Amino acid sequence: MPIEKIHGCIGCEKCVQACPTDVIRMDVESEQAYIAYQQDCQICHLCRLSCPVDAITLTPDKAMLPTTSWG
Amino acid sequence: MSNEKDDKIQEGVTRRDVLKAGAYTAAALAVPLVVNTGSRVETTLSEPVRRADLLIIGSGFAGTFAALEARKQGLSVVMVDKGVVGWSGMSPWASDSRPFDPTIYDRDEWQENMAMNTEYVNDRKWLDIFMDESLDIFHTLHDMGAHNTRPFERGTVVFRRELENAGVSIVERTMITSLLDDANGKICGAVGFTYDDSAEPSKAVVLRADAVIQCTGAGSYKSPGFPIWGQTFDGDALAFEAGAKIIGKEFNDTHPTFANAPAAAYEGWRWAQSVKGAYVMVGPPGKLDGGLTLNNALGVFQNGVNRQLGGGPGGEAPLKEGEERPESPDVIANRKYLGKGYLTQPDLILDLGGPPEGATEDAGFGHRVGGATAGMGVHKSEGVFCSDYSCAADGVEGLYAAGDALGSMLCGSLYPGRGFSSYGSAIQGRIAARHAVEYVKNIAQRPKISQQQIEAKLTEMWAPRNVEQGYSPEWITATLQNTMTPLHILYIKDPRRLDGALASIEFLRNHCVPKMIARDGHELRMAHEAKNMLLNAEMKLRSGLFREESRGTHFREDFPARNDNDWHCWVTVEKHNDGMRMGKHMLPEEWKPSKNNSYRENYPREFPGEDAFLADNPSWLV
Repeated sequence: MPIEKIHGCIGCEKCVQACPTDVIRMDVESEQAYIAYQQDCQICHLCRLSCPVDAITLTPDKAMLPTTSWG
Repeated sequence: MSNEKDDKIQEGVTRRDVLKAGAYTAAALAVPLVVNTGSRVETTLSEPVRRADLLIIGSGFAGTFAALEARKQGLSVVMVDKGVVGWSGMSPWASDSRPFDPTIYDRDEWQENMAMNTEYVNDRKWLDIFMDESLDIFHTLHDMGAHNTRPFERGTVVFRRELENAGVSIVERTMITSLLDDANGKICGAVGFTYDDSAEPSKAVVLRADAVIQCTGAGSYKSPGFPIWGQTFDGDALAFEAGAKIIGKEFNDTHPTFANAPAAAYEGWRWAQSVKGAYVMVGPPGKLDGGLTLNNALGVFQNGVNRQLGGGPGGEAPLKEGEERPESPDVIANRKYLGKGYLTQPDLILDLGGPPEGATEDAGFGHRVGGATAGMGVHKSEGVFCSDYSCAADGVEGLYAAGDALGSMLCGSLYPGRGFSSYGSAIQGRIAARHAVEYVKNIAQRPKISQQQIEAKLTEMWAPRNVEQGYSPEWITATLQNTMTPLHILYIKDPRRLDGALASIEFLRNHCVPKMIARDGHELRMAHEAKNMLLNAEMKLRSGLFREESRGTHFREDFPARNDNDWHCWVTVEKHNDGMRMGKHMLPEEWKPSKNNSYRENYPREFPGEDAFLADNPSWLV
């Protein structure tokens, strides 16, 4: 999957601001960013580019979502 | 052009990770008629209300230049963005520019090349305006310090600072769902909601203004393959529902991705995020080369659809080992401009028009294939229709649009090469603001919005939170993608297939959208995005059915030729009762291709089956 992990977050929220699809949120208690909606990541890399401590790992792989008859 | 941060992508994904992620997705999609475990009655009416003279939706190039112009002229401005100012829409990706310098370039050559490349349905007056104002945009960006940043930094470092210094009131991470109007139908505000409910529940947001400028960008169906995913045609949907005409829906963008890793489109753009400086395309748009032609989408399907291979991004066959790509004629011709006019400035990165750097074969991504943007229209050529160059929506008072939200047809039926998009947006943002300022200053009476209207729109907005059992927005989006993304729907069109897709889209809109569920703020956003994408899909299918000819990126198998007699026009679509009404906006006679040239001289690109069709239908050539 695209955004894989956030490791070493300093809580600056820049990745939350940068993400165009609301994948990353701030954990209210730990005050660190976490991957909340991984399935909506579109691998645009803006979170990684914006991170001042290089904490975000992305991979280039994501298959087209499967579809089902009802949902 | 290296980027010290661009290193992690080479770390592979493990098979287990893929399986884990797949299971997660399948669980979200496979449950029949999903129960809304997060259902809650949302009737918030004590919403925060903001008021300003002017409301600007979107904060990319168009929104930023619109807001700065309006503030300069003394209006109060509230700016709202679905994301965060500085990261808005496509603007973090804009790298190229192509300012027109009258001391070195020939206006007529630009007009002629653009017309041929975009197949004679581009708006020549908008190109004139572009040529008049683009160098000023270049200098303005230079003075702001934008040329000292990389594309993804420009908005956060420069645009945001300029907007804050100018006193623009900013509302962020708020999705707008409806425009508001007064008793006379004048647009004077918008409603939306905050979707980030991490710390507190989503809130309704009501924004009131004397006029609204939509700088909402383009849209796509969120298929993996191109970084446009925050954009879901929201502006087209807002304007359509408010009564505006929308144009350009039959034409398609054809940006590429990679055959073996379709979601890795970023790898083709990695170079762009490493460019710090003014990245300038040298020379006029090509007559045939450099554009995002249909060939970029069809290359993998049927080589040789066009006689001329498009240069620039996408579609070309991979190079064989040891082979070097030959220089295009445009690159050779553009050398003559070097060292002239503003191109002598020392801090420019000059591009003569060759293909940009991208991932190579050995990175394992495979060769480039087109059509990655799945549903996106042509930059500047899809969106709200304005017939008088004021950026005001025809037929809807108080509503303006700029940038990719405006169907200006600057780029006609295909994107003619790099360098027009971001500057086109900036120019149109300023023009929209000038006209909106004039309009607001002349308003006799402040428009009044009924509380009843606000309540009705908020009820509609919250609806997916209140539905207890229904369809997930993920499922609707996935079904939409599967209906619209295949190349035989939007790129190789046939009326039976378009009708089939339309029937599916109509079913989703009529039966599934009213039963969409949203378990939280994130899903509420997705629900409204899915609704907007479906509306746009219907517009695209109906526009594709309506234009009974082929032109540029619109290819109909049953009419595989251009028909200048009947279809030298733009296709409009507008709301009519509960459906859509199609229309033609015929173009000036003098914009047609020269009658002194042969058909093939005017249209050197050949559609499959075109010559045989013309032989059977000689009246098309008269």
